[in-house]
Amino acid sequence: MVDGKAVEGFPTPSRKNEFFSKTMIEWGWPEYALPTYIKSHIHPETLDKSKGEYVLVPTFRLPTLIHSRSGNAKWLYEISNRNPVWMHPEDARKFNLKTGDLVKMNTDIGYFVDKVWVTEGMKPGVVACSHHLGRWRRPEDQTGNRWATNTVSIKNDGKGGWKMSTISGIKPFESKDKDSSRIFWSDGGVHQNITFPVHPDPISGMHCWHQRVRIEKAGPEDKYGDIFVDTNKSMEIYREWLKMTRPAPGPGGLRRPLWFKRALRPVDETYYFENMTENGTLKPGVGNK
Amino acid sequence: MTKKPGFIERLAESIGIIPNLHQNRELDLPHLTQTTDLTSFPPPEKWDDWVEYEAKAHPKREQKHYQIIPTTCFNCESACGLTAFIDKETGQVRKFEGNPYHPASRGRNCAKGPATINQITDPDRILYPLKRKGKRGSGEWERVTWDQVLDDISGRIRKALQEGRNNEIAYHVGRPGHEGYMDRILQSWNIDGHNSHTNICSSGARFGYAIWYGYDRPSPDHAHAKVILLISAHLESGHYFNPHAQRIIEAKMKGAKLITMDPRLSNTASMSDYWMPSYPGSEAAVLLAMAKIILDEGLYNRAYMEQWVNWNEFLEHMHPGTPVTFENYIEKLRETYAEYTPEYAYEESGVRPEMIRETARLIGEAGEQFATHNWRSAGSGNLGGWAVARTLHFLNVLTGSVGTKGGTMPSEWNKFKPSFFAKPPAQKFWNELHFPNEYPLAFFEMSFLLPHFLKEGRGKMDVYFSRVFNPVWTYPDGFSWIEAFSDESKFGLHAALTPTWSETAFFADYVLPMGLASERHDINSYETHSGKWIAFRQPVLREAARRNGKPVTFTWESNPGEVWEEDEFWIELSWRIDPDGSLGIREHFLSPYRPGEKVNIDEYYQYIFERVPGLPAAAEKEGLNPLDYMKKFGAFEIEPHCYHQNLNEVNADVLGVQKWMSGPGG
Repeated sequence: MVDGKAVEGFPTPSRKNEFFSKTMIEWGWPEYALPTYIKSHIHPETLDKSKGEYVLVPTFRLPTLIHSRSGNAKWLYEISNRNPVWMHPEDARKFNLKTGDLVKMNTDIGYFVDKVWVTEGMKPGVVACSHHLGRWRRPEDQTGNRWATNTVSIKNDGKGGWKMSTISGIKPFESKDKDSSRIFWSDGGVHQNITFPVHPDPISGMHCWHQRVRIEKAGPEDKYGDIFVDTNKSMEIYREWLKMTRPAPGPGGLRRPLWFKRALRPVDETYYFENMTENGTLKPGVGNK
Repeated sequence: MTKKPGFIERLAESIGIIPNLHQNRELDLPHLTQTTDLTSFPPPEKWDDWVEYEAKAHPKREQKHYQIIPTTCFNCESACGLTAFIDKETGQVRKFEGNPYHPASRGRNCAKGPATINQITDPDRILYPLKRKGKRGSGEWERVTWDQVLDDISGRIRKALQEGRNNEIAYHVGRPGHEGYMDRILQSWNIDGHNSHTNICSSGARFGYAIWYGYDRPSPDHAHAKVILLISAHLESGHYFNPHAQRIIEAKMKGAKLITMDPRLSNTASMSDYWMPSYPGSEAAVLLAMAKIILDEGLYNRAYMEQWVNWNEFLEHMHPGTPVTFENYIEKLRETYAEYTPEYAYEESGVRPEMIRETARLIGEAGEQFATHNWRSAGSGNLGGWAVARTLHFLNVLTGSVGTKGGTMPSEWNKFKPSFFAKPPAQKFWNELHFPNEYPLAFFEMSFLLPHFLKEGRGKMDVYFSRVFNPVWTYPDGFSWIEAFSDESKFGLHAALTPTWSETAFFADYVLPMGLASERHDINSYETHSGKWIAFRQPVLREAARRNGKPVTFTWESNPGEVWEEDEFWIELSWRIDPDGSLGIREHFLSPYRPGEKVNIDEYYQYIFERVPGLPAAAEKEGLNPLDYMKKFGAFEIEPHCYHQNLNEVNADVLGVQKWMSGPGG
């Protein structure tokens, strides 16, 4: 009620801005009843700088590309075709790296080998790499997105170990479009996301993209674009993060607060565990009002 | 400007030393002037026959005749307006420019809009439906017919539905691009089968907003702000980058101050008045230090907070015994955040305390004209990243800039929700592969854990559609996706709906080519600014065929090869899943205009456009029906501004029902 009139307000239990969230308390997170600061998984306290551990910001977008949907746009790849690791000169000195040198970025499940771009446009102590680049196809695949894709070989040891290496970069090709024979770029960048483990936030469910990486100068056996991942480690990290959750049920046997939005919202009765059968639908007689 | 040739020039032309560029002077085309916004675009009355000189024929003056048909871009999420220039001689799209009638992009585009022409003419594009030969992922494919595709997939879905295996069917979407279309399809099948990319994208920020006020996205009114605070590079690449960027610069030209947190000297940071290269994950500490200064220095908006914050609940629960007065609330607030000094924030973030103080005072002074934005970046990078949006919105609450002119609105105030014919009821299934018990508060589906859940034996996917979606490449841990996709006991049938090859399509059973921006239908409406609008993404060659008196039944007939239109695909598939109507699916696909007949795509959009407030009247003025108006202009502004919707009066009876408790997304 505002000035004696009933007004819409906001779609929350109090119809107001909820500075205080009873929902957070009821669902097992009383420490977050109020707006607060939560230390990240890549807070400096969790990184061992003496071992070369840094935070990698892998999320920034380029205005000229769009995720993995623009590999078919020659003008856009003509503008943007590689994704080096941004590094401040102070940090580059520590590793004895200069622009163009190869750097091995070790994640919790594997690594990728990329070039470094030494720039004062990066905060010291933080490194970053744009995510749009490093598109690939294997020799056996249909040709696609040749403006954007490296040709790679992928080897699987059958025990969870996966190795990707670049056979060739981007090359000019003959087609009905004369521009395809004029491709002058050869470097398609490096696929970094595939070397990241899953990091589900126990509350929002968001994948927490920033990575703890151990940076080292690439060795003589490391080649540009090399990627390695052990999917056993992927599962381990998944389980570690899963342990941080505080599962349903919440108050009243609910699986989710009724007032929360949900994509493709099912009928309200499905929110109660007691109403459900094993194959995920309502028990007979429930919800047939 | 035309310049008269000089004597030497004329002489050289006459004896053929240089080409004669001055013949046919009388055919000069009018120059498009820059005096107002619209005159730099071809006027709509000439859109059916627009004449331009052919650039490639230069220096010759060769005239080209075009038919101009609007659509919207399908590269990023903004859906900016495009106009397709169709060469009247070849019948092919020659180029894309901006649509001046689009209320969000206003005729301007980023590089990705005009590059749509590259995507359409890409020599590597997929033109026919393909089915794998040999092992999944082996790279061998054969061409099949759409009839085979539709029969095979619909039969498999029908069987799963008949056996109660509804939870084994899912549609996993990358860029949706439409409004509610797929919800309607999936609910008509009674499946909890929507999976999205949102939890690798924006659900961190969404949660931070939703826990405050139920709405899950911010809609900053940049154009009218005095101070703009951006978490990351929204001026060059954030959500709604092009519509936002033009309005941020407009505000700056009027004197607004721009504050940006970004560890990178992005284009945005370089255009900012205050660049805060904060350590990743420390953003909330800086925002709370700003809040503390606003509180300590009395810069908060008392009237707004007293009315619109649940401070009484806070005092009752967390400080029982303290009299429930606003003064006590402020006192307790100041105690709560006492430790967030600018010096503490500096230790966490590296942002100088003086800059935090200075910007906090600017924000306090901006008051209701304070626009903020967090979408991905910090919200999606960090454990607890949702706290960034939560502490950012705290600043909007303190300054009373929630839903004000120059402030930050909830997205839903700016977004149009279409009305559908024969809307199916909500599904009676809950799929725990999407919303598992461990994550009761997860704002969207736990989509990036799907391979891990399947490996743990939590279920299987019998029919799985990946749609403009490339988890092998875009998601974390892509090799786990390859492992899961390669295992037919985990994914029974994988159909990739995609205009182009992708790392995920390599591991599909069917690769089904769907239209690009100018080859498909969608309705778009996004929170790009203070207004509310809709736009129509339409297959431009289909519309050209209609205007030229050669209408087609199915859009693929006017698309290259056999590239299908996706809306039509889902109608045909749904129709075949339920051949006799016994599953209760067909009834949702009957034409609202021709009883008993299958709906066609024009009717689907006609029904929606007839119900857009103000559109029928605007169309009538042009002598058009609402559908033809949208086909002609491509966009419509429903409202220029949508401020203060929380003050809309409601009927007291509605209050009693507490309809909001069943959720605004319902």
